[in-house]
Formats: sequence, structure tokens, C-alpha cells
Amino acid sequence: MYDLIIKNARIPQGDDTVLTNILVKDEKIAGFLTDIEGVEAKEIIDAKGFLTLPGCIDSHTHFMYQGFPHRENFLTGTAAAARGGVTTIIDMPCCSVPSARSVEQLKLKLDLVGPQALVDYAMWGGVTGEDVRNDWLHNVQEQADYGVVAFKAYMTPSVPTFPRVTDPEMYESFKAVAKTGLPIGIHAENFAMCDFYVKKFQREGRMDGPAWAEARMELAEKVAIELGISFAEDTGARLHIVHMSTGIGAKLVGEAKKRGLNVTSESCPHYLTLNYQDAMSKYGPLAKIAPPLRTKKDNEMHWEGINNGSIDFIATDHAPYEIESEKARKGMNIWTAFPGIPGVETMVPVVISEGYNKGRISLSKLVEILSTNAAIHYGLYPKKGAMFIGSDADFTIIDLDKKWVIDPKEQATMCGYTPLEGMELTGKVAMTIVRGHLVFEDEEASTLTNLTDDEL
Amino acid sequence: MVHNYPEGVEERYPEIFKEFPNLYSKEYENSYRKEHPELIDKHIRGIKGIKVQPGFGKFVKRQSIQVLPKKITF
Repeated sequence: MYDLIIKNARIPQGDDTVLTNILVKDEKIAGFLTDIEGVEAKEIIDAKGFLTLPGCIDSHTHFMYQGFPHRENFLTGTAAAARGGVTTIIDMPCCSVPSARSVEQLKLKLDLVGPQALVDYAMWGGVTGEDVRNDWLHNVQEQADYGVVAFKAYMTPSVPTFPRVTDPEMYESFKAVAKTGLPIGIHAENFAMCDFYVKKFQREGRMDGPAWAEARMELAEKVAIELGISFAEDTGARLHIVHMSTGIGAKLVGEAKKRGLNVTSESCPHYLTLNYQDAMSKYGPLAKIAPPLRTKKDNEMHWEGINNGSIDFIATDHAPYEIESEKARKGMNIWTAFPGIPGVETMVPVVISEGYNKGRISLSKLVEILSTNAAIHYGLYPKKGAMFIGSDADFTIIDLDKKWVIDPKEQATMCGYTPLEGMELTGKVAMTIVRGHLVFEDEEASTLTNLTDDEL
Repeated sequence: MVHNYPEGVEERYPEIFKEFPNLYSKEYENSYRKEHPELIDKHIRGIKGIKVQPGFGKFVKRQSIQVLPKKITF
């Protein structure tokens, strides 16, 4: 007796698909059968012939908990993930109070978020300039031993509890992380360049949305990536460029790979589909992110980077803020509004619609960039990111033909805005299954509706 | 669950709570939703299509150290 049969699942086989039935036992994939007559299971889910991917992974979220519950919490963040077809998220260490960069802080975060989570989650570790200055780098190996997947460092200021690294502090961090064998992900923007030109533009009276992107220019990311690659080459660290925004960045990463360096990168749906001139003129602070949106040429260079192997996978940098106090408070402007947008709920459908359905990427590439590559890179494979017997029974089931429009008011993330608002997509998440359990079904009722005041 | 800490958390992490007595940020203290927590509850109850209870998700530790193969084609 199986626990679950997912019948009529169209699963990827290279760039083609096959229609099959998936058997699930004890939350793991137990087999695939073309004929299930006489096979018994406690539950049957009909995938209706929809594309059934190995569970998608968003390896870059900021769910803001604990510390910033006015922006998001782990319940709303993981609800957004489930609705977006994401079965595993990997949360960043910085946007919480305290930030998570020791085992004790990590354990506290896990204790706080565990009761809220709706999908599976792994954690990034953290390393900051403060850790270097105070001789706390022993925390790096301790976090690695506890099971974090990678380490995050910021070249620019992020939140007060997660100080940025100066260049020598970043070098020391690279040396410490290299010993663990895990990747170090850097927010790659040159702080001095950003700071100088933001202040210059402010003095000149620029208050338009695009000014943010022009001040934090392409060159600031380019020189930051070049420095990171130099440090990686010297220390042997596995450098990962998180939320890479520029086309030149993809080229630099590709060249480093060709030289044999362990350098990887991620793009985000907004860097594939939006440009700063249009989006920041229309949405202003609601499209303000760091690094900023770039140009249409950068969008196309990122699709090219995905196809030539310079960009390894897609993540979102999901970082929602409260409109009333942090995006559009009275007197706030493009310089003082907080930088961040949501993304976990729209990553899979945007990549399906704008990438796969428009012929920009193949099916095998789709599977790699939404699931498999992040699982491998962060050491979760083949438990996650695979459709093998014994892998977790995580699936993202997509209706490839369904047309819909992104509406922030319909989303589970608490923020209520997205610069992707109004985007017309073809392809929608029909079901999300985690460890053989149906976690989300489109247009169906929700268990959350009946939560009592005490439960919340 | 989203408004209150799980039982025993403050006792388990006394050093952290000494430094961060309420684990809230300055930004939260100045936020709109701090004054309107009912909006958070209403929002959660309005999320559609969720089929499991909070707490279903599990923490996944890194399983091993793996490196992506380099497949550069330019």
C-alpha cells in the first residue's frame, strides 16, 4: 500500500516529457508506473497531464522573521512559496533580530520559524565585518557543521545587525569560508562607488525613480564581482554572486568558470524581465531594489547567460517591505525608501512564461535553473531537486496553458506590491506537493482561513 | 504563532534575550502594522489554496558538499 499516487503526471525526460504515475511512500518517491491498475494507495492526486517538475527551490529569501514581522513572517513567506510552486526555500541570515551568524542565533531562528513553516526550508549562514574585527570567525565552521548551506556577506550596508565587510574583511571571510568547502555568496556592489554617486545625485536634486539605478551603476557591480573573483582565485573559496543584475556580471562569471575557478551566479526574475527606465518611472520606490534593475540589454544577456552556463540558477531575493512605513511614508522619496521587492510567489510562473513558453530556454534548462542546480550547489541533492526513487516527493505541477495576470492583492506575501503587477503570464502553478503532501492547490479553499486568534 | 514566541524560548536563549529583550527591530516599532496587528491576522486568513497546517514545513540540513559541474558553452 502506497501513501500516494500522483496519476497523469507529465514528467521531464531531458527536453521531452513522458506521462506516468508517481508512487509515494513515507514521503519519498517510491517508483514510477505507466499502469496503476490494481495498485493501492491511501490517496490519489490527479495531475491532469500537467507538467510535473521536481520541487522548485528559491535559494534566496528574506522572510524577515524574527524582528521585522510588519514586513513578513515565516507563515506568509512560506505560503507565498507554496502558492508559487516552491517546495524548499533557503532563507538568508541577515534580516532578523538578531541576525543568524552563530549556532545559538541559528537555533533561536529555527525555534521561532518552525511552527510557522508551510514548505521545507534550509538556512544560509552569515559572516560580517564585525565577525572579522571581533575574532568571531570560529562561528563560520560551527555554522557549517550545524548544516547551513552557504555563507552570505555584504559589500554594502544591509541591516544594522549585519554589518558589511570592507575589502580586507571580505578577504578574511573568504579564507575562513574556504576551509569549510561551502560557497560564500556576496552582495556585489562597490560601496564607495554607490555611496559617492547616491550623494552626488542627491546634491544635484535628482528625485526621479531611475536616478536610483543610475547612481548604483553597472560599474559598481562589475568592479565588485572582479574583486570577488580575485579573492576567490587567491583563497580557493567557492564564490557565488547572489542576485547578479548586470549582463557584464554574467560575462565575468563565465570567463572565471572558463579559467577553472569555482565561481557561480544567480539571476532573479526581475533582472530577466524588467528594466529600470520603465519600471522605476512607473513604480518609483516600489521598484527600488539593490542592486537596481538594469536595461533591456541586460535582460537579454541574462537569458543568454542562463543558456551558456554563466548563470547557474534563478532565485528571487524576496525582500518585502511595508508600504505605509518603509516605501511610501509621507516625506519619503526614492533615496529614503527601503530597497526590496517580493518574488518567491512569482518566480516559477515568470520563468515558465517568459523563458520556457516563449522558447528562450529548453525544458532541461528549466529544470536545472528552478530546481536541480540550486539543490546541488547547496548540498541538498538528491534529497531535493531530483526525481529519483528515494528523493523527497516534492513536485511543482504546472498548467502550462493557463493565462493569468499578476495581482499583488491576491498574493500571500504581506507587502501588497510588486513591480511585476499587471504582467500577463501563460503558465500557472496548479499544485505544490511537499514530501508527498498536497500543500497548495490553485483556486481552492485554505486551511489558514480557520486559524483561531490563539493559533495566530 | 506569528505574534507570540513558542513556550520556553526566552529561557533557552537567555544571553540573546539579554542583548535583544524583545527581538523586535526599530523598523517594527515605527511600523503601521505594529499598531494594527489585526491586519496581519486578516491577511493570513485570506490566503487562498493552502492545504496544510503551519508547522508542516521541515528544516533541511545540508546533506553533503557538492560542486556544480562547469558547463560553459561560449
